[in-house]
Amino acid sequence: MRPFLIWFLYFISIFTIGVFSQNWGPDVLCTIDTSKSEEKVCKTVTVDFWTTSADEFATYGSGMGDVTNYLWMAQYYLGKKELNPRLQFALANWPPATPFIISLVLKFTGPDFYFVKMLLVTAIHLGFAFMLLFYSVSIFNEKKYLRFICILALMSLPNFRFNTVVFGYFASESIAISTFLISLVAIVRAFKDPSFLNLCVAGVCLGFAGYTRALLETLILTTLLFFCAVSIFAYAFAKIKRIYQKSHSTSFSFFLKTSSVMLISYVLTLHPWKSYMKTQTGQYTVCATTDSVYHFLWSKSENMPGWISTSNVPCRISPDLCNDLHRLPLEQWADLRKQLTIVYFFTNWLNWISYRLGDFNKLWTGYPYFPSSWQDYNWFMAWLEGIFFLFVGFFGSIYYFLKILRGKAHLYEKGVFFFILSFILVNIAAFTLIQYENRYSLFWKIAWFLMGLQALSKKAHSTKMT
Amino acid sequence: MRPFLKKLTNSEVFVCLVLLISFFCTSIYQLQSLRHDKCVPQDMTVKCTERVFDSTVWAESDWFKLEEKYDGDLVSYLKMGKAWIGESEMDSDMRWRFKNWPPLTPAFSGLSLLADPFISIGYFKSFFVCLLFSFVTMRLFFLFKLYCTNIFLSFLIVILPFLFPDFRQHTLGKGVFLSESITIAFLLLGIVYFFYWLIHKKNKHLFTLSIAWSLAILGRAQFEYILNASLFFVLLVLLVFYLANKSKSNFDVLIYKDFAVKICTILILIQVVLSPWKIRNYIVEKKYAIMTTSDSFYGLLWLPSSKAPYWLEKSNTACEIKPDLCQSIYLLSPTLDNNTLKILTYATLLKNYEQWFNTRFNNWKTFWIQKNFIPVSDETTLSNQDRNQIKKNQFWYELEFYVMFFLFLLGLYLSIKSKKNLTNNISLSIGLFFILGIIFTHLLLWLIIPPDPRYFILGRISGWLFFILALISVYTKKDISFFLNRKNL
Repeated sequence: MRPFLIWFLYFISIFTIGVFSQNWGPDVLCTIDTSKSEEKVCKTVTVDFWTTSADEFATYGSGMGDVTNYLWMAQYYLGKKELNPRLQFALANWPPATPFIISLVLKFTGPDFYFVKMLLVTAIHLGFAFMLLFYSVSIFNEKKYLRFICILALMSLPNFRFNTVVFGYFASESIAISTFLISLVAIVRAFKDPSFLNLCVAGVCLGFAGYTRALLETLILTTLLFFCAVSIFAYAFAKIKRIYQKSHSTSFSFFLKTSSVMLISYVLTLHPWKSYMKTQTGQYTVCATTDSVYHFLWSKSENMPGWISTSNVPCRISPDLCNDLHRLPLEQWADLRKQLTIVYFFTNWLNWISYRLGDFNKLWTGYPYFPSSWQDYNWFMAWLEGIFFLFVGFFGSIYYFLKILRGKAHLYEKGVFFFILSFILVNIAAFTLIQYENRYSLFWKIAWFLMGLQALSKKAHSTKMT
Repeated sequence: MRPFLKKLTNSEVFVCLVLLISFFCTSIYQLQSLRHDKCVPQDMTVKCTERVFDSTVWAESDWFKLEEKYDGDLVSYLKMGKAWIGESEMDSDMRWRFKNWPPLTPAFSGLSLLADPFISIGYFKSFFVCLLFSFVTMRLFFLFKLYCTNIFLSFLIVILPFLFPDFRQHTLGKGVFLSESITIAFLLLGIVYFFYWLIHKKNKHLFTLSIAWSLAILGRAQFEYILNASLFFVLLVLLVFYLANKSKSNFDVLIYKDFAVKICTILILIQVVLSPWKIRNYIVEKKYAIMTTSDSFYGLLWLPSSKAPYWLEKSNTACEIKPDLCQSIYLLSPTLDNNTLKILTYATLLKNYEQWFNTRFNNWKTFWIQKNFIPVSDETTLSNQDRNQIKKNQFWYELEFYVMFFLFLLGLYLSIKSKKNLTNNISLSIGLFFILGIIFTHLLLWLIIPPDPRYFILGRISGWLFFILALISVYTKKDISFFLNRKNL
């Protein structure tokens, strides 16, 4: 009964915060009318949070980008929309979880009050994730209301709020964030009690998170592979050289077993959809967006879309090279873009990394380093949130690491630490290469936040393993 | 000079003189025979109607007549030589040449131009190069004689590469006027002193070899990659040895550390010697390198077969894999940056590595065996005598490769057989691994760059160098340095 109450409190809080955060008004949407020779058609639309229906919203067209694609895909799943080239492109390039949830909502409740219902779904899902988090971290264990508020305080962070209850609830972010939070809780649980069932549950949860966003799928898969590989090497090294004490060798074998089971269950969870995509697009993937990454990297600056306008790193660093390539017929070198990226990165890695570091604000806060005016509230809040996550993550990691170094960490804590560390390293590697927006960093921030919480976990768990 | 000569024994001076006379005679004969060459490359084709040059008697003014017909390496070296001795201005043409050719050979040409009023350029260059080669061969002979008492065998082994026309022409023949001869001389000098250093562990050998290798690099920039890669390979081997023997005696570990430190010293010394030229290039061309356009060879990989020069037959691998892109690149090539071609080359290699390596393996002879080029336009007009000569030359070129390859295999067999000696003699093992490093680097280069067979001269003779060291490992019972070193340590 008590967990239900906690969940309900979170649900009500999130929904209320969501309702008060709505800021809809007239908006100009532009779309390209293919029937009239690539002509750009713009129209003014007004979305009302309380009344706009799914059918009405679907007519606004591709001007709304991802969110319309999700809605169209959902309508297609329900048999309400016919297949056209635009939809076919959406089906191949966007992950299936969000459209599937939208289709369930539409199927059982109809198209009316679309935004209200989607916000309710988000509040239910995120409330559940918060409730699990409430029970899995033992910080401020003595004062539960403090713990409750501490977790709910995440909603006060503007970017987090925007990507969950302002924009994210009808896009994929809110579902992805909630599912990822649930998977992290499942991982902590699996490391604490490494039974086969718990490990499988963690892997399946990660798999569900993979269904929500293509980027997240790649990040999780790479993390699991990296974690497995490091465990294998460390275990083999410890065994062969016998440099480490027995406890270290045991740790590595523990990490190897846990990560292998999680990896297998993760792969199996995603296998049905990936197999389906293989038959549809020829690629064994959740969605075939990989090529667009390289496409943007090698696009000329004038052709870059606004939201990632500076992400064409090679073209920004070496405009001569980029111009030279674009003077050659695109169809002759388009298939080489991935290899060009690898070669370019390894020959200009210093410039590349410096450029990316200079652009770090776009990933972390979405705002420039300096505000246009010092009264800019949004800028201030965004940087406050960014610095908060940096502070919690950075000092949490150091504190956690020192705890492990001093031998005060439990084996499961080591597991959680190394898993999240791997995830962050993979994030750093990925964002060094591919283009990003502010919302892409959410998973990194959440994982880091959890690491910070875990570092401060109750002393009762901080017994040295014997 | 006197203290240096005093250090040489009478027998060393005698051997050196014998070698000098024989090398010089051979060189003059080789250079004279160049008069019979009838083909001049022109506009990517070969014109074969007139006599080219009479290198041994030509004076400075005669050499510069070549410019009208053949403005390639040879003319550039001489023109840059003029700039070195201050007789020519640093205009845009000269700047272009300084970007495209390394500095040692032009400096050498500059010296020969200074001596031109007294001795013809051909004689001067030939004499200096022969002096270097005779010194190198003499040092190698006496090193080998320390272990093998059979003088005839020792002598035969050390002069073996000179018996083959390919090596001879690049060192004592036309190579005298190009960069091959002097760079190979310095490179071999460095290698011989590397062997000396491995055995005697004297710092003076270490300094000599570093300077000799630096000079070789200043003559041909590619040797920087080859030598660095080979020395890093040795460092890697030492690291493996170190880890494997860490738990054993402390003495072994100290030897590995000592060798590693010394090899790092060589690497640093080379960079120190090269740094003035590199800094000059950085100031002038904004590139810290020996040659500021060393990427230009990527253009050759993208040259359509019909446009490729005769000496780069079948090396346009990128073109074979992506013919459409190749055609587009060729059309835009005058305005395309070298960096673009470089990035495109490696991207194509990464994407189609299987096809790329297959092409290279299928044409291995084109790269590893020197070819007596017969221009297609001239094939029908060749006399029977010329045809026989070409066949004969080709036979010797092929024989050289197979002999060197056989020597490498024999060396490998001997080193495996004398494993016990090698285990006790760390110095020799390091030497063998260094030569193996050179071979691996050449194999890697073969898979990537557009190779003119003359780029592989060191690769071809490395089998001979490996054999010499392996033979020493058979003859040696004890490593003298091992005991010397124990005392020092």
